[in-house]
Amino acid sequence: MDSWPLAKLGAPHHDMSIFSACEPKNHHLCLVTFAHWSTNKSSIVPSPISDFGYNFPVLRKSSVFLFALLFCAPLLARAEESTVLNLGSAREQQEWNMRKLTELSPVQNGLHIRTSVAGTLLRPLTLSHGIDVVEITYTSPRGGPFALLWQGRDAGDSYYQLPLNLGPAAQPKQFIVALGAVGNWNNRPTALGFSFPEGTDVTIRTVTLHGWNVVEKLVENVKCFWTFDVIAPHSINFLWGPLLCSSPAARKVLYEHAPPIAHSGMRVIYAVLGLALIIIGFRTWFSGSDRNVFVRRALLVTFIFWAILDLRAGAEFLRNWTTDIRMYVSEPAGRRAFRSLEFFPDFSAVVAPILKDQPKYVLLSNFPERYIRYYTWPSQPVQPSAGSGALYWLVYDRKDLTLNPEGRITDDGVPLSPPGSIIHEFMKGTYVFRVRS
Amino acid sequence: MTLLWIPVGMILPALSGWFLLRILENRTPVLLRLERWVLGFLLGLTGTMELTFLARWAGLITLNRWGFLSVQLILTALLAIAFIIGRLLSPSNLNLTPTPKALRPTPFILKILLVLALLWTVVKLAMGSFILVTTPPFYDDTVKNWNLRGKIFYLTGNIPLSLNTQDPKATDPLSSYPPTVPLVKASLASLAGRWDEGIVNGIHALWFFALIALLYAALRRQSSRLFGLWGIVVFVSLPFALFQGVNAYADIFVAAHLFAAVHLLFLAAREQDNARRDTFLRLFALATALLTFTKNEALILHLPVLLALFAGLLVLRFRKRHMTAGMCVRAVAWMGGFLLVLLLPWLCYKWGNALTFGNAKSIGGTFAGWQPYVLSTLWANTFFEGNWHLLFPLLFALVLCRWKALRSPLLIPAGFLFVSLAMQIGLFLFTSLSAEATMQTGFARGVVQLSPVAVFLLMLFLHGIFVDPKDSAIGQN
Repeated sequence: MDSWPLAKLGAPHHDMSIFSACEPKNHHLCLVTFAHWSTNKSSIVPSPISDFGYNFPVLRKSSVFLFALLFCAPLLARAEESTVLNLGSAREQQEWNMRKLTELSPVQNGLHIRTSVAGTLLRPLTLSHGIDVVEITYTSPRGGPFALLWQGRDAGDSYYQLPLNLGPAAQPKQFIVALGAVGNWNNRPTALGFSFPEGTDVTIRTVTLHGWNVVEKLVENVKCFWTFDVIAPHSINFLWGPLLCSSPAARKVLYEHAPPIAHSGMRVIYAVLGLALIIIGFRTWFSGSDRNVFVRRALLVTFIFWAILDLRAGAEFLRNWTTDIRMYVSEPAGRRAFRSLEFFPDFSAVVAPILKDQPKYVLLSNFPERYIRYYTWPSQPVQPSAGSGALYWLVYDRKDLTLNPEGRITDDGVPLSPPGSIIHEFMKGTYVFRVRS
Repeated sequence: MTLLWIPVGMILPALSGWFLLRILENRTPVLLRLERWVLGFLLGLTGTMELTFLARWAGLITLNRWGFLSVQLILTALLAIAFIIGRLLSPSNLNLTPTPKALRPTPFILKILLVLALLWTVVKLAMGSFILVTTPPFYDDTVKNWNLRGKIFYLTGNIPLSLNTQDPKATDPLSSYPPTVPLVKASLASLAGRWDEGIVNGIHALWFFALIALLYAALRRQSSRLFGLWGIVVFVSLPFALFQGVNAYADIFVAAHLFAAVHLLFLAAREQDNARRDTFLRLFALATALLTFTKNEALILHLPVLLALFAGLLVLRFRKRHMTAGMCVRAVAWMGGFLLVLLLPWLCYKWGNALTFGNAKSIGGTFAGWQPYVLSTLWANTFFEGNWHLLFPLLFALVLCRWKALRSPLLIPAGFLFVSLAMQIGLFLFTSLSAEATMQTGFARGVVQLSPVAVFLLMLFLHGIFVDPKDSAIGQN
């Protein structure tokens, strides 16, 4: 691949937290002291280490725990590891190779990328830790699609790509990609980067590469299984159910991608259930019991797993319904928000009487017009182009629209409406506009 | 207090349904008391709305309070008179209680577990229903189909084909849906005197409770009350079924009608007494005909399968000499009669107004060949998402291991379930409806209509394994 190296750089900035299982107050004593205790109980010296006290019987009982902890110490010693690639730094910028990105300009705290044709940005990597999550801090006026690229295990010119989408961000925003469930992801890629289509306008500030150890990943998988989705427009068509992920960052954004970049938790259920059935089968066979005994035991185990899934699903529903009560049912009109519709139901209900005798009105909003149409029927929402004759223009959550000196609603300077005035403003960007007759 | 309009608004339709069922049972009551009331509510409401639709179409009424009430009052009065006359001419014993089977006593630990499971079930149902009646509509089909059309019927007193006042001559594709659900909402709003979201949405919870009651009664017939209660726990534990039941969508409404029809045919299949079998077949005919007035897929997908099973049952019984030719002809005549009275007018309305037979889109000419990605999506949707827990892996495993049990009336629900699933999968695999599968907007909602039948089948298999291994109730050949 042709490339223009930006510059060369030394070792990337590297953060590592060690032995995170240890209590901070005993941090300086933990590892060495545990090793000392487990190998030579009789020479224990009373010390400020009071976690286990000076009591010999207590120490004998806890020696198994201490031994296990010592055994796991090498794993625990390497917990979350992160590498931050600061694209605002000239040294870091020199590590990146670009292709066809002609409008690339270093800015304060980042690298500004504008594309008139599709292009790529790649960086070779030599990290001491694996990568489970990529976190991109960026700003972008409109957001847009892009792809994460990484080089396969066999290196060469083959790169895998994961299409993603950045939302608009006027202020620095984190975009987190959990890669544990992405097909062909190699957590120690020799190169990583991005590809941008034509029309991209984004400033990348930092790229943080996070990795976790096996134990932490296992713990996170359990936590992810019990992480709940919210009631969303898709919920009436299907429910994602339990998912697996291997990092706190992935768990934070578990249900934010559609579809989720995560494995189904049912994999674990099927695997463990399958194992249980095999064990039951062997035990039944060795004990000489008949087939019906196996069938009953197998069904009982299946229903235990069913009950676990029911507990999880029921808890998810109850959590979401409790949120509905807290955010909507128990709040007065005007202060309540209903799921992703937020204030829109109340807005729709409040404006309906105003529109009672109007055959149509113009709706300027990113929310679905079919929703407000239900409230205002027979008055119909129409587009601005069909708004001739409409007395009222409803603007909902459109802070980008302004009124020009003539009293017209304008979008980026382009007038949309006839002259009129705001007769009621609910909040900035949400109001009822009446055309001057 | 506002929500009290819901049960008030159900009194007359439920009574109509009850009287109609008793008339059809005639001298041979076969339904449990609970079944009769629940089926009376379910079928009576749908039948009343169909009659209201026909009366409106004929220009006899306007869809206001007295328009709705006049239909309901006249229908209830006529059916009551017919029932009383029938009772005077042929008294029968109404008290039908299933004979408890001599089963092993239930271990105490299982009773405790059942109590805990029922508490959990009640909490989920209560919370879900509370949210349904206290929050605004959220989902697409609610605001653009069921509730919108109901509101239009209520506000205009009519059933317009166009839903867009800016283009009143254009027929909206959504008008191809049977108007039952919107008419029920309009009826309740008319009674209450205003369009209230709690009232018009709360009816969906009633349909869900009716379905649960029907499932309980069906399982109660096979075994003990405890077994029936376990069936409720299992069904309500299905996340997608529960979520559909406590939202203002129509798929649980269809599921209730479907289950009623399939269960009645199953009961007819396992019945040895001629008079009782005839009664079950009459009731099945009524349930099947009314099913076509629920949603379009009931007419296009489910009706053919039900009719095929019905025909298969008659042929089998005739060949085994359990039924005479006269009995078969009578059963067919009842089915034909109900379809003529209930389905034909709706078909004429559709043809007369050039309405499609698919849901808001035409199904003709949609064959498009093998559709990629559909099979993997359906696989993930059924086995790897949070819709059904372990229902389908378990059910399929039991069917494979105990396939011999299907050589019994159990073939009715099993046949219906698997043929319907196959038809739905076929539609998604080979037609332009594949988009609904890959976008996951259609398959699970089709399966939820079949889910009570699936749970019923599962529970019968479990009954044969855990409760009564010599169970011949499902195997009366």
